[in-house]
Parts: sequence; structure tokens; C-alpha cells
Amino acid sequence: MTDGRRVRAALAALTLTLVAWVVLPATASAHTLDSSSVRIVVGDTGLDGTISLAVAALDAAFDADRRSGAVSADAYEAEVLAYVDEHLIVVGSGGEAWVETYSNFVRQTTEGIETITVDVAIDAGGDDPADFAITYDAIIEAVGGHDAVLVLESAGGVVSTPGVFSTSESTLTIGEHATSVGAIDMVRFGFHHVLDGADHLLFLVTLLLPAPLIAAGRRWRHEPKLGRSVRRVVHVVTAFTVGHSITLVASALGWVDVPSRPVEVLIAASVAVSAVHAIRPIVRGGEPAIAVTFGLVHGLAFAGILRDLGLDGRTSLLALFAFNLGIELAQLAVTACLFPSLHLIAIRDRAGVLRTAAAVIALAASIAWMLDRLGVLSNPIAPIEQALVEHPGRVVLALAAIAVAVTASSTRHFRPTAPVIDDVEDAEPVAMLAERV
Amino acid sequence: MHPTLHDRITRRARRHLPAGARRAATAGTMAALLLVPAACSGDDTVSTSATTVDVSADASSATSAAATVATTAATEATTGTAAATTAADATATTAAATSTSTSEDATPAIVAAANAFLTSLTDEERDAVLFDFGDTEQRQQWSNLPEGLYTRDGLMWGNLDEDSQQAWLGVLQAILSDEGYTQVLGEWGADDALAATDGGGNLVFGTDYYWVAIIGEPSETEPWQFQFGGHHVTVNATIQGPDVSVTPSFIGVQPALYDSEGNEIRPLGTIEDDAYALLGSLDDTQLSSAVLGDTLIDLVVGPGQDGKTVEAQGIAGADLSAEQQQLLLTLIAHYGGLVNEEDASARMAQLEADLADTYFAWYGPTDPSDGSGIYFRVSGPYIVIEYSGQEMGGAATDHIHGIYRDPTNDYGAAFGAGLS
Repeated sequence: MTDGRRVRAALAALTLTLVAWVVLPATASAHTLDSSSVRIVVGDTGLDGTISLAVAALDAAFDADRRSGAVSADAYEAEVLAYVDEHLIVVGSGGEAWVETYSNFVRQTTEGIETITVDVAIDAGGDDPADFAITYDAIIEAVGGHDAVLVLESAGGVVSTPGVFSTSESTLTIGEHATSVGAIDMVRFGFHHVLDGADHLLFLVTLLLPAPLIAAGRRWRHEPKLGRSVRRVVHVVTAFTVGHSITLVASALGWVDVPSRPVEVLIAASVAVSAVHAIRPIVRGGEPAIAVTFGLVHGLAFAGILRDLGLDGRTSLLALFAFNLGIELAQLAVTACLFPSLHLIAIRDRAGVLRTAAAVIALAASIAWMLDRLGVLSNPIAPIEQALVEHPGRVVLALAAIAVAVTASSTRHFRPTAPVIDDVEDAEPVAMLAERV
Repeated sequence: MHPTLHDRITRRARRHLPAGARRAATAGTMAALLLVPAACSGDDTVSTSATTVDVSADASSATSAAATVATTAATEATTGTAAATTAADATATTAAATSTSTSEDATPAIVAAANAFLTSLTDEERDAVLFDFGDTEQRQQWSNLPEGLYTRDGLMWGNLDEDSQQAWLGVLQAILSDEGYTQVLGEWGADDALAATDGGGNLVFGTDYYWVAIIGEPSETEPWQFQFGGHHVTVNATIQGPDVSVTPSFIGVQPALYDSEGNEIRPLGTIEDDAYALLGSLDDTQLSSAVLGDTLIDLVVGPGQDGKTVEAQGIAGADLSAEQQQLLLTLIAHYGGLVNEEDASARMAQLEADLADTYFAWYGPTDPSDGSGIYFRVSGPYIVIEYSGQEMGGAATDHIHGIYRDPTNDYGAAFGAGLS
């Protein structure tokens, strides 16, 4: 058995173990606790919501160290608000998630039952506030059988119960939402929602870290060549596309139905795999293999985005194609923006210090996500993640700045022994980039 | 409010006479008050099969008075025997006799009963119980929350003296039908059973913790409202001339089944049974329209949700067979028929006329033997009923919250007495 095969076998075993670990407890614990409710009042420019949670059920959803008493009241309140925020998404007809502002945290005991209510103001951002898809799975994602009724009050004071959030239905559409979604909208949805998901991007970017390098046994050999790097990137991106397209279509058309929680955990795990691979090659030339394998998992999550948009079940092949195209465009945009910097850095970063540092950061993020998604702890890097995702331009600029700094410093120090770039053709665009920035 | 002749007589009687004589004086005053309108209207066909309110003159405490009433009323309801107990008290007999004619306007009797109640109070009490009709906040100040979680205003039942308690029961009896009165007393009495089981932790339960408020002055021409309520039952009645509205009212109970002096009382039992009867009559197609979810939900237009309407959800009356429509009407009648027989006839005619446009929706298990509680909603142009088994604080079958509204006529909005 070669190293590569052994590693591949180990990878497969790890994947299976993760799946079993995540799926089994989710199906075994099915006891109903007092249900939650989400009351939404439609206003002129947005929604006013009140979310009511039974503390007993919330405690069951939280890990022991997040329970009341273990932390200060303020910290608990912040945790609850962050948790609810994470599990409530309202998307308007523009395809954008509306901004939520939480307030008025009230914890009280009524007739022996402790409840927490929080108010949320949801800004429609110029969209029609009566037309949206609302996704809510707080507690539901963790406690089998828990559900939450949606009580909707129109601007005219007409109250209705459009549906119940449950394990099988976490998104409800209100108004004309999604019925008028065209192909262009679908491209936009695909584009934006991939850009909003830090995990998908981090997986891809981390997998591209070693693109300019060659795996030599269990180490990366430093041999950056632009032509080869570009080919590698194309291979990885294509492989990822193939993988996620298969499962996106299969899931959107209802051929497969995988619960979202294990998928989310596996996606976090995929980042870890590509991070480890960036530090030390797991599979020689195996980035496309990793990309296609985990692309299958990411595709399931993209199908979940369609569900969150309330578009599942009525998606035509054309709409799916358009959505997938949006995802590709987002991938290509990210790759195009980051690759020059990554390549520049790789040229000078002979010892792989920066690559390793980046991979370690990705690994840390993936571990944080995994623990969060397994319900062990709340995502400690959520604020950083949010900041990065909200300012993609700054991420690109920062990386470019690092690339310039590295190039400039190493040029100064290593100019005498410069012939790192052994391909003159490759060297020109790199130098041009360095000068321009 | 200026003291009336009756006020002065009563107060003088209170000052100078022993307790028994004071009661007699009060009773005499009330009897006179109540007989005047009856005599004036020339109606001599006074029903004798009315529910008799036997607020025993010997009852030693407020709580036992309420319990006696509840038991009496419930016994009649379960056994079908009218006037099961003898009414020794002239006041009660008179009130009963005048309140239940279907042909005659009920308002004078209601006003008279309310005035009799006011007459029974001390000046301080009267100040506390009366509010301006323009006090919109007070008009809406009611809740199903128990004492300790919600602050009510007015006079607390447990603090009223026995005469005033009797007089207040006369008001309830005048405004409500026999069935409605029995039901309200049953729901109210459950709170004592709840208090006895100490089911509520450190909250205060029991029939004592119910409050009375009169908003505006009782009048046969000007609008006024009264509130009576506490945990699990609230009656909001708005009266303007001959028009009477008893919406919004809270119709709940916990425990749903209890024993009172040897009698099993299930105040909302027929409502639940009739809801199951309607559900059970539906075929699969109808069920798929009517049943909106398999778990219970809470009230959507409960206390504090005034001024809203409810979207038509569930199965429409138009999609029911004639027999099924009758079952729906029977269910609705438990609410439309809360108000006294005279006002109920107009109310039920209105609800029956819109039956095709009235919807029935259900959440929760559909099998009565499931035992995990139910939620149903009836909504039409002029009615919203919700009945919601509460998961909190015990079994959902044993803890019911419910609301009865008329989106067009809560607080008498349809006859110009609504919240301004």
C-alpha cells in the first residue's frame, strides 16, 4: 500500500466516522419540549419580531457550559442573542438577507415555565417588507421534535399562522416571494450566497494555497511556476464545480435528502482537510480529488441555500443552472482576486511560513466551526468571520498588501540570489503586479 | 357619581342596622330596582326556569360563596335539573326571574344589577371600581396571567363583602345566558382547585383573586363597560342602549376537570367535545384543509392583541355539508350564546348568516385518545374563537387558554362604543 492510498483510506474512514458521529445522535434524541414561537409584524420598511423560547428547550440545545448560572447574566443574554441571530435569516425579494437588530431580552417565569423573549427589528433594506422568505431553526436544529409556530401580522393587522418551523421545514415564504424569481435573480442568489458563506470560500482558498508548489513525498517542494499554478487552479475549481453541481442538482430535485447539520459539520471538516493538506500534502497532486470529494458535500449546502430562499421543490433545471452559474462566478471572482497575491507570496515564501500560518488560521476556523456546529460551543470567531465576509474588498486588499510587502522585503534581502523565478514568462506579470500595487 | 336615594338608604341601613337587616335592605333595594323595569315593560311572562343563584345568606366566607355558586351552577348543567336549589334570598330570585326573557331588552336588567352592585359598595370602593369611559387603557387592562404576574385595577372579589359579592353575581347573571353564567363560574371555580393543588409555584391563584371594574356609569342609553376577570377567565362586557357585546373575553380553565363538593366539573368540556365532533365528521380531503399542523400552538389574538383580524385559514363553512355546518354552529353557539338570551339571538343570527364564510382550523393530534391537547380556531367576518391547550404547567389537556372576539365589535366598536 502506498502512502497515498493509505492516506486516502484514512480520509475515507475519517469522513465515515464524522458522518456517523454527527447523524446518529441527531436521530436518537427525539423528545418534545415546550415549543417556541416567532411573531412577526410587517411594518412599512421592515419587520418587528418577537421570538419566544422555552428556557428548558434552549438549555437542551445549548451545551452545559452555556447554561444559565454557569455564566453571567450578560454573557448568557449575549449568547442567546447570538444564537438566535445565527438561526434566523430573512431574505427579501432582492435575494439579500435583511439586517436584524436584537433588543429587549426578557427572561421570566410564567406558571412554572421559564421563557425568554427577544425582540428583533428586521430592516427590509428597501425591499418590499411583505415579501420574504424566513428561515428559523433555533433549538429545532438541536432538539428533536421541537418546533416553532410563525405568527404573522400584516401591516393591516391581519393575523395568520402561515406555518410551523420544524426539522423538516425550516423556511417559510411570505407574500409573492420567490414566485417571480428569474434566471438572472438565480445567478445573483448563487453569487451572493457563496460570497456570504465564509466556509465555502475558505475551503477553496485554502486548497489553492499550495497550487504553486509540488508535493514531494510528505513535503511541499518550492517550485512556483505561473503556468502550472494556473493549471492547478483551473483543475481545483473545475473539480469543486463538478462535485457540488452533482449534489446540488440531486438535492434540489429531491433525489437525495441529507439533514443540514451533518452537512455543515462536514463542510467545516473539509476546511480542516484542505488546511492540513496545505501544510503537508495529504495526497500528491490530490487537490482536485479533495475538491471533488468535498465539493459533493458543499453542493448539499448550496441546495440548503435554495431551501433557505424558499426555492426548493419548485426549481427548474434552468433555474438550477443559473444558480450554479452564480456560484461559479463567485468562485472565479474570488480566485481571480486572491490568486495573484497567493502566487506572489508563494514565490518569496520559500520556507512556507506564511502558507503554514494561513493554513493554521484556516484550521483554527474549521475547528471553531465544527465545535459550533456540533453544539459544543458557540462560534468564537463569528465576529471576525462576519467582518471578513462583509468586507471582501478589504480581504483582497490586505492580502495584496502582504504580497507586496513580502515581495518588496524579499527583493531587498534576496536580490543577489533572486533566481527563484526560473521562468521568465511567468516573472513578468508578477513583477508588473508588484510594481502596480 | 352623585349618591342616589338608594345609595343613601343603603348607607343609612349599613350604619344603623345589624347585618341581617342590612342584607334585607340591600335586597329590598335591588328587588325594587329590578322590578321597576320589568313592570314598566309590561312583561308578565317571567321565566321561572332560570338558573337560580343561591348565594346562601348563611355563607360564611367569600370563597365559599363563590364555590357554592360554581357547584350549584355546574350541578344544574350536568344533571339538567333547572333550579336545583331553593332560593331563599329575595334578591337572587328576583334577579333570576328578570334576566332571562328572550323577548325583552336585557339592558335595563343589566343596568339595574350594576347599579345594585354599586349601591352595595362603600364610597371608597365605589371610587376604586369606577373608571371614566374614556379610559381606554383601563378598558384594555385585562389578562389571563395570574395575580402576581399582572396588575389589575378595580376591586378584588376577595375583598368585597358578601352583599357586594352577591350583587356582582347578579350583574354576571344579567349579562350572561344560563349556559354562559354556568361556564364562567365553572372556569372561575377551577382556580380554587388549582390553588388547592399548589400547581403554580409561588403565584397566587384562587377565586378571590378576580377583579371587577366598571368603566363608565351603568346606563340604559350611554355606553359603558365592565370587566370581570382574573386567571383563566375574563368577561369584558360593553353595553350601549339595547346593544351588548361580550367580546373580547378570555375563556380558559385549569384544571379542565375538577371536583367541587362531590361534583365533577368540566367547564369547557362540551366545547372540546363539540370541537372533536366537528373534526371527526370531516373526511380526509376536508381534514387536509382543516388541520394546519400536528403540534399545539398558542393563541394568536390573545390578551393584548386588540384591534386585529384573523386571516381565513382552515376549512371554510362553505366546504362543509349541512350536518357539518350544524356541528360548526353548535360549537360557535357556546361562544355566541355566552351573552344573555335576548342579545344572543341577534348575535347567533349574525353568525349563522356568515357560516359559509367562517373557517375552522386545527393544530395538534386529531385523535381524542391521543391525550396531548388540542388547538382549534374558528374565524369569520364577525367572530374569532381560539381554544389552545397549554403545554406549560402540566398536561395540555388540563390547561386551556381561549379567546372569544368579534373583530368588528370588540369593546362594542360596532355600536360606537369602541376604543377611541
